[in-house]
Amino acid sequence: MKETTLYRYQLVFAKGEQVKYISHLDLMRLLERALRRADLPLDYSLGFNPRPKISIAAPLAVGVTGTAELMDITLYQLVGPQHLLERLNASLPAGVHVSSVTPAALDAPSLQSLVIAAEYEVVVVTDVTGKEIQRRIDHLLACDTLPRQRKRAAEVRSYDLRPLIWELSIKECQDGKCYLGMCLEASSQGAGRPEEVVSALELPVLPLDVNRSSLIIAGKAIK
Amino acid sequence: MVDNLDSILPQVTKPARYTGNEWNSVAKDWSTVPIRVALAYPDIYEVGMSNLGLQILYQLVNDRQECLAERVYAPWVDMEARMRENHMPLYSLETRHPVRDFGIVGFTLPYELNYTNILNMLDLAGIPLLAAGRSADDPFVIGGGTGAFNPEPVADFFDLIVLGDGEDVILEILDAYRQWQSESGAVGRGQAGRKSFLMKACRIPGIYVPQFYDVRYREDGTIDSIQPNVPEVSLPVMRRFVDLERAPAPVRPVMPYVESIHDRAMVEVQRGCTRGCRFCQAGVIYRPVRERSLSTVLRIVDALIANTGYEELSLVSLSTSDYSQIQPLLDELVTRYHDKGLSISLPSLRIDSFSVGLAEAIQKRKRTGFTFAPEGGSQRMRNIINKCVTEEDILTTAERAFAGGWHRIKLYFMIGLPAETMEDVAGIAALVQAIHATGRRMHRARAEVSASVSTFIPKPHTPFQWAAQDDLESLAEKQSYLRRNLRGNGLKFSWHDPRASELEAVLARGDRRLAAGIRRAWELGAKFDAWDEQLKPDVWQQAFAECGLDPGFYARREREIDEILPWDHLSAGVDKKFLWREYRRGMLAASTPDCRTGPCVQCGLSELSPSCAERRGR
Ligand code: SF4
Repeated sequence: MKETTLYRYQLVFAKGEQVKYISHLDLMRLLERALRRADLPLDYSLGFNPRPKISIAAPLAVGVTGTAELMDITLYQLVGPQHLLERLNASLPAGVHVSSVTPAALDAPSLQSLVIAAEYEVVVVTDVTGKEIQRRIDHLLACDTLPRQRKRAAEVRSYDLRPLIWELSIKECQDGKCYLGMCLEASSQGAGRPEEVVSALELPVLPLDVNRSSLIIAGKAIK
Repeated sequence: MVDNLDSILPQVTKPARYTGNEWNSVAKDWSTVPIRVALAYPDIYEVGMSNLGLQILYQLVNDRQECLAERVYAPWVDMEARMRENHMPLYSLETRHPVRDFGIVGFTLPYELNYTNILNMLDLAGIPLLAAGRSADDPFVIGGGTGAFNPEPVADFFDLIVLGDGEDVILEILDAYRQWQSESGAVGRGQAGRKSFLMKACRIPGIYVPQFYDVRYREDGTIDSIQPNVPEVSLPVMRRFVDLERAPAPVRPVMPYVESIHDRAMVEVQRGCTRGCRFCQAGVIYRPVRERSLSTVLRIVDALIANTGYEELSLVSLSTSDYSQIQPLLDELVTRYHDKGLSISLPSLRIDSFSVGLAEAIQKRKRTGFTFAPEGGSQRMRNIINKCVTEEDILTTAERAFAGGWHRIKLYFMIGLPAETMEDVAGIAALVQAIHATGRRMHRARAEVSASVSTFIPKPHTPFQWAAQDDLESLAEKQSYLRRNLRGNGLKFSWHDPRASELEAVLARGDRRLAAGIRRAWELGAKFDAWDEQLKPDVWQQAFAECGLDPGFYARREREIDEILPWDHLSAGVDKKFLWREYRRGMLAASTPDCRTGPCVQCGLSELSPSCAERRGR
């Protein structure tokens, strides 16, 4: 086995409208191929199918955009962060864009283990008035528990939505559209889903415009 | 432009099939580009995106400043339902324009079981199904690809069909279209205007305009004559043919986000195959073998990898071990790309030790499955079909592969071949068992042999085009024999639904009268007939019955030598006499050598192919 010094980088990137319907696995493949096109000194995993080492903090649901997503990559040569950012952006398809690159310690804990919550901006199309929605929000936040069921393939799982909601508020309400802001837990204890919150407010979930605006890592928001 | 996708995409499976925007896709500004082509593939995205031909055309058209090409695939049934509910027309992926707004809609005709999808897509697009029913505002619907060599069952739905290699002819069609556009002005072209374009187009070699030919039938149902009804067209229409070395390669292929069937870089190292398997249509319609030089292939690969970042490269051809530069090519690829984690795949390998050696060279680490295709189980049958390998070749190759570390071997066979007896079928089981025994000796319980046994379908332009398809009972009996005899640990047997094979056989050698049946089947709900869970045999039965069509007439009837076949006016350049000679030789179990290594066997291609003419001249 070859002995090389490795370099880890943390990247903040956006997953925009054009690619919001691609799955997490599709996104991983996209990034992998973009990194290859950028011809960066990628460190490949060992094994049957050598894969560049990329890890993403928290998978984004299909149909949801993200403005400040996080990923980690490992290179076997030192590359200037600005150079890395430029090269990679030139190889990324419309809709995916890296906004910052920072060197990270090789032994830093994995991104997945650091994320505790996420902030969302949600646009609901509805005729329900802002006042009424506010009433529903107040009611919802006043509840101790919010038992809900989630269908996954054939399986139905019951869970409590309430503890997953950290914050929920109306940003604006006009012309049949209501802009909600929410901060939902996203940890190993559970992850709140924006459309579940919307549905708990008895508002229509289709069409729904959801953007994850930031990930919260141990008290600090990445934007 | 279609813009309400957000209200329906969250409700469908794999929504990224319908959003475009992939790397290397090209979205041009419609206001500055007058010639707009929709490239349509009559199956879902993942299948269509794997088609190399479509990628070639996409790049060729988009490389022209005044032209644009955008893609469209068949929406899966869930998406189709949502589209119909929301009155959403079929749209292109690049700019989401309705397909109906394009000037030309080009369909790939990959194979017969996609026909109903073509009708479904035209209907979703709001384009009249029948070419005769289209008006000045409708696009020209053109077809090309393998299925173009007998497009008769769907001829009524197409304005024109392209025969053979598309690289040159597509540009000639665009030139003719542009000329017609400028002559006829932007508006008010009318029916006469439509026809004037077709009159221009039919003069281009390789272009077949179905409505310029009349077909007459005899009382017994066979064809009496196929005659042009305008003097300008040629009879027969001769296929187009390019020199692969000089043909442009798609080095900027559109890369799917959704994982597709062949999600990898593809380089065509050669086109055509002259091994002469008598069931094989590709072996006739792509004749002769045309290679790309080593340096050209490497140049293409370098560009492909730089432009895509793919982690896998496939060396595409009908028989990759026959590529004369295969060894130096692999050596060079390993040298250039070893450190970049690029894996190489070799589809369609010959059955010999040389091929195992090639596979060993590229699969240094992972050796899971090794695939090859004996096609026939007995020596007699392999002689009939001209698959010139001996039992010893097969066994040695398998042994060599097992010894090389592979523990799984996949074998392709066919049943229902002409003159087949139960002994030939038993030969398949015996061969698979023998290979499995070899595997067990080396890998014990880890050894696995799977036999994929498809049903033979007589195809146009092959020596077996005159042969009858086996009947359903006999096929069922053969499948059940194999099921019984290919049971046990480490053995796998898979087969095709004989009803799908029968339908394919009907459509493959069909004539224009089938159009009514296809249309009726589609009206009754047939689509995605190539998908086992979607195929509706009873719907087809009903449709054929209502239209007075007898499937047996098309599938299970042996034709006479002097019968006019529905595709006789379309030529692949290979002599019908040669095909008949091959059919007769097959029935005598006589083999015919490959003209690439042996002498020219006078297939008739020397008219079309300069390299063949040169050989003959010498
Ligand atoms: S003309 Fe002769 S050399 Fe050319 S493909 Fe036919 S058999 Fe082979």
